[in-house]
Amino acid sequence: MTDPDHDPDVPPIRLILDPSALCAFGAHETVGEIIGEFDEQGELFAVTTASLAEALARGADARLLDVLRTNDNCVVVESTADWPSLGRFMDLTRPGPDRLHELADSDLTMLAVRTDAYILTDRPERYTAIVSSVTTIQLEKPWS
Amino acid sequence: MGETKSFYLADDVVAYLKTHENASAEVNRLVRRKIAQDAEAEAYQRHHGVPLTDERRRRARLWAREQLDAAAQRAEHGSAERDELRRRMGWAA
Repeated sequence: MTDPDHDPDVPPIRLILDPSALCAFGAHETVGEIIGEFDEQGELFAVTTASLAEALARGADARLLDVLRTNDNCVVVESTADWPSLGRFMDLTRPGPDRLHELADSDLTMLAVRTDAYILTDRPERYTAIVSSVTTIQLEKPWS
Repeated sequence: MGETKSFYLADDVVAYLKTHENASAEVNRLVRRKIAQDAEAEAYQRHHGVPLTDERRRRARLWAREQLDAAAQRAEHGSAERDELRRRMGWAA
């Protein structure tokens, strides 16, 4: 297996919070505790700027989003900053000759593949539809 | 950014901080953790109308550890597909 730590362009991220996980922070205790595990172990979790925007649009508390993104163990990844790679990734994972997966979902999935990180989400199929073997942790109702 | 402040610290706190090469960083880390926990607890209270108890946190921590362990095991399966994708993206070692 490739060790993503060998990629000098990306930090060793273990978990990515998708918009549903960002919205769940504060609504259910599991998100805070899973992040707490990273603090204990000195590992990193990531959020993308597109996920932050979607979470805000879905009604997430801006102050709580600030708490998350300023966490010492959080890496904020600028969505589409590496647009050439994202374009190639979307081309490689396209569901059909004339179709592409959604851009923000592809961006997050690409980050997961690149870092071998897990995705915390209430809807794993949003990302496994793009790369079936991407590893997800499902938030369960009613907190999602 | 930031500033230098003087505080009275109990002996055991001083002893703990002396075990860290960068005591300021450790203080920042611990206080930010408390800020995050307080913000989360306030939001939980607003959302559910009841406080976030230590027992609920304990159960959530167990859930988190189980999920992370299970994810680590699942990640072993299907790594070939991700490795191939990384290779095609030019990221593979």
